[in-house]
Amino acid sequence: MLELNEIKKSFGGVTALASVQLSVDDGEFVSLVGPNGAGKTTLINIITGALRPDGGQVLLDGRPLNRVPAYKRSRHGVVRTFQSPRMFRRLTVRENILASPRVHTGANNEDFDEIVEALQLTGRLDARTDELNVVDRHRIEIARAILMRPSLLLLDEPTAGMAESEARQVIDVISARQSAAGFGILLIEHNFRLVKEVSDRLAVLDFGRLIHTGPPAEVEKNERVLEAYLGKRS
Amino acid sequence: MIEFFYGYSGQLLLTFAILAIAASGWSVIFGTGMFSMAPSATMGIGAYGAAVAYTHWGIPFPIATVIGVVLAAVVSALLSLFAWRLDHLFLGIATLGVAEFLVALAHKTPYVGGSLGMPAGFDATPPVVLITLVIVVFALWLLRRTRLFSAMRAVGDDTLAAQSVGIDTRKMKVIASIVGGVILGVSGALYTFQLGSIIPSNFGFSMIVQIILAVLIGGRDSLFGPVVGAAVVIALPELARLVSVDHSIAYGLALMLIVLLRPQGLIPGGRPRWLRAKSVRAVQAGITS
Amino acid sequence: MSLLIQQLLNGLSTGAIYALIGLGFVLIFGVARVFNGAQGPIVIVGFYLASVVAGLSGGNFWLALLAATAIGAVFGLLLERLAIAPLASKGGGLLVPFLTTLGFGMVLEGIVRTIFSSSPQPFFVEFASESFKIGDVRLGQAQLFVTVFTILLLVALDRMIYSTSWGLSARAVAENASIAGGVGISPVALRIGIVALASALAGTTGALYGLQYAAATPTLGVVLTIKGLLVAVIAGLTSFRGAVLIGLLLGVTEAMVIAFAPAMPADGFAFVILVALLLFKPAGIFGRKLSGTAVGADDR
Repeated sequence: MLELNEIKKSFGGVTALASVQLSVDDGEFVSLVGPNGAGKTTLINIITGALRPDGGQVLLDGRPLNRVPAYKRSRHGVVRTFQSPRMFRRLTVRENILASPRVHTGANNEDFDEIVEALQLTGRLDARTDELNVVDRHRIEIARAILMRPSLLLLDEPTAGMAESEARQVIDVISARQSAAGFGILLIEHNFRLVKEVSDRLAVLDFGRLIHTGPPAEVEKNERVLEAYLGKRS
Repeated sequence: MIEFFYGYSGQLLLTFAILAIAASGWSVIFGTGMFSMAPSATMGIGAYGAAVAYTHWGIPFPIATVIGVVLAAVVSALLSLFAWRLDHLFLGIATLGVAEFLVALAHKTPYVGGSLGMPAGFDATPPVVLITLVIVVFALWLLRRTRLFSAMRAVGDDTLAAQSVGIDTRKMKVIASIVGGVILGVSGALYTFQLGSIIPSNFGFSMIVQIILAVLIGGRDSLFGPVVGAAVVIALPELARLVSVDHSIAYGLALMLIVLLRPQGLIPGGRPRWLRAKSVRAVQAGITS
Repeated sequence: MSLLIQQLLNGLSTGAIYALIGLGFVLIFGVARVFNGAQGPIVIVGFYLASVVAGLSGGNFWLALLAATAIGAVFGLLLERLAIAPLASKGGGLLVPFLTTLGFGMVLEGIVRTIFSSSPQPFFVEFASESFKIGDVRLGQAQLFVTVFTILLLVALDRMIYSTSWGLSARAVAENASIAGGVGISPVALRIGIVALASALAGTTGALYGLQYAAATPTLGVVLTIKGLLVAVIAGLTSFRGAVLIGLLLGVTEAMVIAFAPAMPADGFAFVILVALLLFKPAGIFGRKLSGTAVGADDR
């Protein structure tokens, strides 16, 4: 279980996150929504240790992570994907997936084949990543993230650039895995329809403030959220 | 046969072999994303360590070489700590600062002979030098088949992504620097015992340029890239001389052309498809190629 | 005490040369985000042409200075076209342009050596050849001239950057090239101008170097590149006045080490300071932090 306690972060005087309080339970599917620049990716960077918060605490299963370096958080199961996928360009697709110590020491062949098949990467395992398009690169990161057996999976716009049907299929693969393994998910996603369907809870971030959390149906009725996120004005 | 090595072409061949070893060593460091501009200094530490052990302490050639290599590995590991804080060219400038400092220090240190340098034996006979090159290339061929090497490349490709999949990037940088440092130290010790004496300016800016140029020309990602690059770097001034062109012009043009026109080097990296990993098990067993 | 003052003066005039080279780095880095590996060799080209012109004109320093400045600008244009412009479209870090400009500088060094051989080239002018003596302190006219002339040059440059519309454009591009492009400033024209200006400055520096030291060799270029790099990085890469101050400080430090700690490597001393600074204050003393340039990616 992930708990964020009053996370604060500013960049050169501009507040990116103002005292964010949020938790993600094991097995829970939480989506982080909000306009561009609301601080969503910053929050993920703080959870993974790529950025240090100015204040506040990140707790995983009650254990503070603030002083744990990024690579160790990943080894503890805090696993992420990137908004624009970051490939190891000198490694093949297979090697990119196996690059994580958590994958090459833990995943078995059957698991590997199943995930790779589900994400339609089977024929491309020996390709170099610069031969692939951005959709496949997202799929590589997702395959690796799942095979890393996360306790918390952080997905930063994993379906960016995908058609609706492709996006739905990828999200389905992820949630099927979640039901089996019971890890928590924090998803950043712009497709509101998709988000509504798969999420247990939505957290709405606006100008670095968490303005609402709750089930999708409830959030949809919140005036402030509609205004901030959906751009509807009454 | 042996007379050949005391002729001009033979000496060139040995100089090539020593540069090829040094370039192979630096390619491991550069391949892990560290643009260190101190390969000459690491090589020099190996050279001076071996020379001091041999001449001042009376230690025989093989053990003196080991002493030089260990010192070089230690210095290289310490230099890699800079790479924890600095990236790219800033790392290059900081390490260049250290390299220039060490050369200036050697000039002023009477114990190592100051500007006049140090004598040593002529124990690195032509066969020793050439066999060492073969051993180094073979060792790197083995290294390239390990998971460790994949992790080092991952760090070189994208440090943040490497961290996010659980690779200890700092540790990888230290390991790569030690591996590279050992190889650079070996080349330095061979340099000492091949020439029979060394001076500080052997390990100055022009050596840095030669090593870096060899790796850039040959290709940093391939096993034979640095070796081929070293051959080009040794051959270039000779060819230039035939047409009365200054060696700096040849090196300068080569540097500009390779960076602008073929940044991956003459022999690009990446394994052909038929050599790539075929199963998860092979990777789990530590073999990725 | 008189030794101290003597070395202070010697150091200041050496430092003036370092300051000029450091300034050239800051100019080019500011606008083009390029570490110019050819800065030192262009100084040397300036020096050699100045020495030839001085020889032909019977020791006319001003003519030599003018010629050195002009050839600096010419090589600046070549440098920009051949080593910097081809990379502009490719983006990519600091390393590649540093290597291409370094290569360009090596070619220059080779050309100079081909024409003049590698032995030291003398520099004779009928100018500022006297020296005064105040107590035990000897002050060469040449030294005094170099220091004062450098200061005037710096003031003029400062004016140019901070008080002209061209300078304003340059600062706009240095701040944010894409926004500057959006408001109608041509970054390409500006880059060409700045590289030519910095290289002209390097040429001038060559003539001043000749006046002060009376001789140089082709390989000196690399040493000057490294010194200039040092000054610019310590100053923080974006600060004009910082580069000047650090240049002077470097010259004085070296002079003091030579006089008072002859067993220490004078060059090495400055490098140690550089390394310590880079590690603990990557943005330099006067610099602002540049996004994505200074701090290591796995800084925890």
